Amino acid sequence: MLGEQEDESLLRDMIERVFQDLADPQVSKMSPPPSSENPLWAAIEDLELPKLWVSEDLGGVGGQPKDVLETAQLAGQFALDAPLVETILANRLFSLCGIDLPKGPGSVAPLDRKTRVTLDAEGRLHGKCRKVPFLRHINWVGILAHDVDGTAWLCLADLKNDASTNRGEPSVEGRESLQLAAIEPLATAPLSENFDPDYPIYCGAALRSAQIAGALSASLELSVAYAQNRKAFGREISRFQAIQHNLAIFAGQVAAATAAMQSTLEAINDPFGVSDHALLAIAAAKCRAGEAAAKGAAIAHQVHGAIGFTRDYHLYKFTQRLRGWQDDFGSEAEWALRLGALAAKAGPEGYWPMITEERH
Amino acid sequence: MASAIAFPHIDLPPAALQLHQEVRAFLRQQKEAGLFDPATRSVDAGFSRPFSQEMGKRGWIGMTWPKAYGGQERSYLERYVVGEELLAAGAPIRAHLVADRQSGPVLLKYAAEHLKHRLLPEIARGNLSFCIGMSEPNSGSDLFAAQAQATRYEKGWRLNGQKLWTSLAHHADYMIGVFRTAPATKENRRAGLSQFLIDMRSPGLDLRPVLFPNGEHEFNEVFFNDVELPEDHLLGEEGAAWKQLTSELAYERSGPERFLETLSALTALLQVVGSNPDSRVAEGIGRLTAQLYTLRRMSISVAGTLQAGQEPVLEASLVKEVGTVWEQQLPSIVRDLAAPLDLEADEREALDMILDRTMAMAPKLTIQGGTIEILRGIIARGLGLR
Repeated sequence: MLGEQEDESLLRDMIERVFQDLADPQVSKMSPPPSSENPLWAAIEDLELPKLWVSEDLGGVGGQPKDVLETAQLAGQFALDAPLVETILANRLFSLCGIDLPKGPGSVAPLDRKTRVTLDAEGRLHGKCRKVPFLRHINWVGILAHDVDGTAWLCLADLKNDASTNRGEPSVEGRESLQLAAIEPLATAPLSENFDPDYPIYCGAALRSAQIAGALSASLELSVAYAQNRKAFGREISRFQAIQHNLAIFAGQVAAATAAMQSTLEAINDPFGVSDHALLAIAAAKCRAGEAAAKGAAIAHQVHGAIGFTRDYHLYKFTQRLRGWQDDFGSEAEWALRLGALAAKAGPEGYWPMITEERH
Repeated sequence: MASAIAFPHIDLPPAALQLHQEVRAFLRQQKEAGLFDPATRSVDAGFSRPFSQEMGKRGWIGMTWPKAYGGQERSYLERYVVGEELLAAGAPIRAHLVADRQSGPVLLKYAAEHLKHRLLPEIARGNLSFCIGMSEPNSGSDLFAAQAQATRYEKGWRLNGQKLWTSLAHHADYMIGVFRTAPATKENRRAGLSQFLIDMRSPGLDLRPVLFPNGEHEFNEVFFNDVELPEDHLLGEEGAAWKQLTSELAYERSGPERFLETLSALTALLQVVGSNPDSRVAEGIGRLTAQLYTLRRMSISVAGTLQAGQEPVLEASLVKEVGTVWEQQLPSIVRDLAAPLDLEADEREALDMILDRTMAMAPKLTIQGGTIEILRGIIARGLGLR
């Protein structure tokens, strides 16, 4: 970023090198699963990235929101075949709650706002979390659940009990449904003592916005390169104005997603800082990034023609991820509803001050 | 691997944030003094010499210019904040807008010293208005097809020809115009165009109003019949207009004027929906808000990058592309959201008045200041496609 010191970009450079070496999206790599046998995950563990967003005094790397968002952006840019972002988020939340960090890759669940997981009076989890990424390859999940009184809890659930439901061929990112049938968590902590109940979803939305920005950027790059190389009617298709203009429009969406993800920095910093001000930044980012994802992916496919709509070519790895990330941690419409309510509350006089408010 | 599109997050510095409150207070004052009526949004109402002079008194015109020429040497970000507050409020800034945004910077770079000392402080005081002479009946997007001529004579230059779509020429004191001083060549069709400073009261210069569909007078056709200029009214180098214009066109116009021109339609909707609208309206307003919030962050990022001395040509073009499409669609979206609402007659009338105006203006938003097709071509070049 602007005015950055050399050492601040060191982490980013290191991560990018690892991903370039071990996470080339052109190479299909769903197996071996992200564990110590998997060179990518081994490198991720070497850099202690799962603990990137855990403070140093709690045994983590002490990364700042900027580092975390950049990492998520890179994960998107490389269509990473590993639940790095989910693991980082879960470990952040565990560390804030005093829950000992589990080993290896994991996730958070549920990833949507409507699914309810309950923690019954005997302390067991019930519910179905859909579309959990890399479910077959992870050891644990950080579950956000509610007890009978409506109190919110963060629970660490071990998946070795075969709690998952496998249904047919997993999608890109290995998303499957997690069935929790009276699962006893390894650890629990009440949310409200440790962070605002909305904090997990705000962080999730911000991270997904960053992944969207990264994946869109890579998809644009892929589309430009394709157009520059693909010949039709005696010339590269990049010479056709229709293609040029579509890619220009695509670039505008990449720009919007990139700017959107950046504006979440402040909002995810403070676990108790969930204010209207933070809501505006997060909601605007996720809504706008989701919109950009849809528009950009459509153009990427259009430019690529038939080859882009096959598994013979790697565009689908980006566009399927984009499609999934649109739904995670609040879809465009869900966040738009909350934004609209904020705007109406501000009213015609308060609207512009709301848009321009900054706090340092 | 990643494309080269970067929008670093820029926090506005305290001096800039302070200006939000100062400008809002100023606008309240001007409303009370009768210099500014937010309900009146015509082209004519947008031109107010007294309002511009009040701006000048506060040093808000030519903010980034050297103090030696009447500027304040303030930052791009501070200028940004003043600009967005005025635009969001629909303040009457047309009497100084072009001079502040383009003409002044051109004079700063390319005019003779005595002209700079004569004109820039007067612009900064809000006393002088400028117009831009580029388009002609047979050249608009294709700037290099310009045919209006400037020929040398013993005392200086003689101008002949026409300019068209010249905004507010009927109010302007000066024009900065592009005239042909030599023919274009086959090898170099950009050759032969020069920039000139023209006193709008010059003998031989005539105007014809060219009205918008809604009858408002912004455009003009300007006729030059042996209009005489002193030698030193050539700005910069002879034949160098193509070079001198590039930075102006490329990145100096990616500011909030590229997405705030129809904001009044959104505020008008908020006026009538109350504090607890139904979900259809809430979602619609929310999406617009997400888009606006992001556009603003994009635009501030560009301003910050300019402040750091860089030239974000691609990013500035992207802000313009996304921004003008958004502001163009905004009134229609608002119209759709408002259509089924049960409003009082006077509420509906007030809303419709603003919608009528913003929808009437909508077509020009992707034409003015460079058509979007040309802009997309510039972006495509920036992506390496041409």
